[in-house]
Amino acid sequence: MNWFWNLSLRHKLTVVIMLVSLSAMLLACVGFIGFEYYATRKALVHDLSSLTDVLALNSRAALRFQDKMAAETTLASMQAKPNILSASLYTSDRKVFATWSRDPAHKDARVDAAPQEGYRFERESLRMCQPAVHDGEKIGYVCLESDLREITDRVRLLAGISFLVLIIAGLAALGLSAKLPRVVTKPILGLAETARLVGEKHDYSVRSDVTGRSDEIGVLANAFNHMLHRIQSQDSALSLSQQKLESLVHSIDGIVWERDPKTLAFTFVSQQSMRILGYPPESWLGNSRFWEKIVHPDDVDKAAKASLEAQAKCEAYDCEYRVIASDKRVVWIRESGVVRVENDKPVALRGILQDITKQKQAAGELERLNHRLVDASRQAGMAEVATGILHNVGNVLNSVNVSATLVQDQMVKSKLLTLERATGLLREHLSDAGAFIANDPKGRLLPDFLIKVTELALEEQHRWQEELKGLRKNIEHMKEIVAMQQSYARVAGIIEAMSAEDLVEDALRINAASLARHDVEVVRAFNKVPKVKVDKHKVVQILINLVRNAKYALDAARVQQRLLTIHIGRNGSDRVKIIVQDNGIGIPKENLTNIFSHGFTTKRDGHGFGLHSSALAAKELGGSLTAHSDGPGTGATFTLELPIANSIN
Amino acid sequence: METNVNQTGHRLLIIDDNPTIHEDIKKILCPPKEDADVSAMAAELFGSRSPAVEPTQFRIDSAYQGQEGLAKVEQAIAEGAPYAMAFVDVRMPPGWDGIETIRRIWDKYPGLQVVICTAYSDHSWEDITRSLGYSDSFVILKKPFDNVEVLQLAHALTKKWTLACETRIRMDNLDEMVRVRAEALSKANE
Repeated sequence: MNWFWNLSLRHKLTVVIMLVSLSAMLLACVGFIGFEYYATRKALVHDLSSLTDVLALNSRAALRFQDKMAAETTLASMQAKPNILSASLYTSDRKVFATWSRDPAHKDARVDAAPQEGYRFERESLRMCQPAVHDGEKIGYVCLESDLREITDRVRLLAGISFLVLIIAGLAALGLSAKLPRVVTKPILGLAETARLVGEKHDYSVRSDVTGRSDEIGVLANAFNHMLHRIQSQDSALSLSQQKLESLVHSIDGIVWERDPKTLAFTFVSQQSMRILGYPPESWLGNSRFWEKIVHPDDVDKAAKASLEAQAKCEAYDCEYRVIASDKRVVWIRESGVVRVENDKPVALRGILQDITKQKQAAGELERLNHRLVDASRQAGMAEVATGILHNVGNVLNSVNVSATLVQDQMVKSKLLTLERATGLLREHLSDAGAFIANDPKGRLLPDFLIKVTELALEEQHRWQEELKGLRKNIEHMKEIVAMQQSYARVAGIIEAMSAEDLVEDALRINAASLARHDVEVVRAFNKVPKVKVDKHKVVQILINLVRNAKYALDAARVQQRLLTIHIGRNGSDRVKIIVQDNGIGIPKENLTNIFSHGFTTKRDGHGFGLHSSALAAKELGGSLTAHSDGPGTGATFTLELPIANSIN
Repeated sequence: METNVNQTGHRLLIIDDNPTIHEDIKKILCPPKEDADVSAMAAELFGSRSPAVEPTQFRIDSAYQGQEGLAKVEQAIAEGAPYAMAFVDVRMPPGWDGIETIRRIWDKYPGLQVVICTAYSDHSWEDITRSLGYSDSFVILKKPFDNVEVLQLAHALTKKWTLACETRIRMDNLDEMVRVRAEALSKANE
């Protein structure tokens, strides 16, 4: 039956129609032939019975009179009936009386030995026996044998007719079945063609044209078209979103990638690779060693290790390394990756390579700036006025020192001193001065000596004058340097509104290391105050001085805990006060008045103008600097008052 | 500058970009000569005084840049009268700094005794030893300096230089003697 299912729909329908119509025709023919056969037999029996009756009537006399000749003549009349094969007469005691047969050769063979009433069909003939009755008495029996040619002839005829009808009907059915199924198959084939197109070309825009029908095929076609419409819209939405996704991936500022976790070969690289590194994505995909080739030789191991470790732990990772771009540029890359895991096995490595060269450069720049800031703070820390000036006056001071020492030395050795001894000698001989000078060998030398020493002394004096002139010039020079430094400091200052807290923190930051080194604990008691209008540099300088002095005071004191308390608060409506307090050695009462004077210092290596210049600066800023102490060992308190920003305007 | 130089004195070189330092050092090391007649007269008049120690004389040359200093040292060697010592400033813009200059001079003439003058701690001991190594041939002198410091250094270092020269000559003589003796011995053995 397999062939049947493989037949096309049209052929299948044809076969079905033919089978149905032919088998109906066949059944009808068989029925008809059967009926005709039966009817013909019945007619034959009836005909033979009538003939037998006629023969019996005709034979009555012969039988009554036992006239054998007459009997045989009567029987011979059957010659006229072509279908009768034999005829026979029996006596009443069922003995053969006379016989006739169409084939004389077999005359006896065809006659029954004794008559059996009724009819019976034999293979090729029908036998019929009837009694001959006369006056109600059976006087003998008549038997006839007929052939069945009539029946077979009729059946054959009918079979021939039936066959003809079948042939004609079959041809008609075939003709019809070729035409009729198209009504059904054509739309289905149309649908099938549409489906084939969709399947082969993935073209969801085609539609079945079998529409406007209300039967099942119409419904099917409509449903099919609807489905196509849905698929088409979903497909276009899908491709749209895929395009969007793709353009998104390719436009992300970084190389999006995917790698196979086993071979580490790249399976996807976004087009930014071309822009960032100058390598097209294909060069990554085609060559599994490509990545190792372009990474900076010093960084290959580090970078490969990071990704392998992350893969082993199935963790996200981040690493930075250098890549040599196609134009030999060195590009800093940050690789961020994740491991995609399915069923506890890594199935893909995905991530992004970002160009961080600029950040790296910015970080370097930041570091440089930081260094500069550190340098600047250090310089600010060193910017004690005296130190700055010393740098500049160092050489001049040297000359001053040399000149002063020379003059002093030469004065000690001065020949003027010998004048005193010479005059002493004269005084001894004052009474006989003339004789002494004229006669005494020493006295004779004396006038010459006096002249020479006087000359020398004048020479010396001239030299000292020169030296002192130089000394004075050098001192002038130093004054100029100091003045320049001061004017520079004045010009550099910018008056701005500053937070007192920030100023204090700046000063503390510069001293932080030494405060920590000297075990000083800093206590901050800051109240909320308005901003102050100051020259930041000057205030910080004052505060640095105060903090540094406090540190010295604490260093020299024997206290268990070295405390430096800085208090910020308001003083009246227009001032802010910053109080720097320590529990150090304190200030004796007699010093409280002169600590601010120039050149006063208690430090062995101090120069004594820290507080002096601080007080001047505070005054310049429109504020004040005051000191308080209850005496030695009681600590000291310095109060810096500064004007509030808006109170000046 | 060469007027008051005694031809027998040691040769000194000052390498410094600041002329006042040259003046200062010269003032200290070359004081005005005492008038010999007056001294003799004073001794005769007042008796007792022992004559003052004749001050050591120095012949001082000036160079204002490192390169110039090196040229002077080379010239002095060529003349057969090398410098015994040099005062070298650390900061001498725009040319070599003092350390660089000393390194280059020692390449040519390692025997030179050096006083490194520095105004402030722009070069630490570490910086100096990193460039010059630990040596007994240099001393650091901080500005402003005392006259006595300069005098002491000049006398001590020139004395050291002289001793070193004598030692070297003596060693050379000994070597020569040993060589001659060895030759004589080997001849006697033949």
